[in-house]
Amino acid sequence: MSLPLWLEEIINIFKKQKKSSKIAKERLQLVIVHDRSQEKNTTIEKLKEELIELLSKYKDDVETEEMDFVIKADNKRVSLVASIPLKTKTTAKK
Amino acid sequence: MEKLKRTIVVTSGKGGVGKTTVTANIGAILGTMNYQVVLVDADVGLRNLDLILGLENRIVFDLLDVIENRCRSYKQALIKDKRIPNLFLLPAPQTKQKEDVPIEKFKALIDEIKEEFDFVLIDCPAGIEHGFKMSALAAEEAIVVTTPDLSSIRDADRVIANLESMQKKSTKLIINRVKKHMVKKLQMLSIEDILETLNIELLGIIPDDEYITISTNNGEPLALNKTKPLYKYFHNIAQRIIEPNIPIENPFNQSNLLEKFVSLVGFKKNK
Repeated sequence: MSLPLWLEEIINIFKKQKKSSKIAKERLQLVIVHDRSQEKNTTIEKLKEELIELLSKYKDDVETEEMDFVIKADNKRVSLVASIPLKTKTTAKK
Repeated sequence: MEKLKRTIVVTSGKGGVGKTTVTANIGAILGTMNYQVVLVDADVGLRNLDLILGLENRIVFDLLDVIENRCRSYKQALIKDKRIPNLFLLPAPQTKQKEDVPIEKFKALIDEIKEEFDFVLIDCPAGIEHGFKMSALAAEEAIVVTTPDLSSIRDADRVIANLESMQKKSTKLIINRVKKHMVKKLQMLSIEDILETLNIELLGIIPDDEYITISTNNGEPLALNKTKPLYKYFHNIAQRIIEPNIPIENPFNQSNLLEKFVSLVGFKKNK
């Protein structure tokens, strides 16, 4: 069963009009990808990069992928806690 | 009985998405479920939680009075909700303070309060500046509130990234003011669209409802009116905070007609 061509064309015209939710989703995802990439330029990310560079001068067994920075607060102060794991023998073998 | 001692920050990034209303209603429902709850208004200078709860005329001391030791203990500043046993409010200071509340002092206060309660819900100010950092660092868990609007979702993404750098025990999303008829016509982002974009666990969905305006006007949280259509969504969220395995109350699962009927006769479905 096939529709006449003219009818199909008319349907296509309507189909091509995207629903606004679809437009919204596309715009949103684009802007969020951009926002997230900007985040890589923040102080902590820069600090992380420079620290990796510095550490590599003295130690060759830093697990750079696993490095982690966390902002924490306790009753006395707010602190930036850096976790710098070293390669263990088992992970070094990989 | 041993207290649950859970501290949860309710945050959103963008203002006006219903953060305070959500905090008030979830807190009130947890209160009716016999948990000991303190709601902390951390919006220094722009307090509103008192108004939504209808407690605005009973404030004597506020958060800053406690932190600066102008009252004996935080207990003196807590306002007890007469309608809901177990629900307390710690109001924000309203007079504009130049200096911000120190983060470590706020954290110490929250840690002190939680020892004697099941839940401390912190209503966080909009934005990602000092007030946000203070509220988010003081709590162990986080709830992010968004509406299906582009700007709100975008801001929620920033907030989630900020919360990630603080390593919260859990960070979950509430999608507020969902307009069912618009989602059905594909003119509003769906729950799936939002979750796909934000990559965060869903805590609950709250449909858009005019009744919330009336509830705020009257200063009566929904927990006091179980017959109202939004009650079950807030109740579901409160239940899921206690027991995460309970399924989400999904407004898209019911037929429109049935819902109209339910709200028309004020008949309670399920519970």
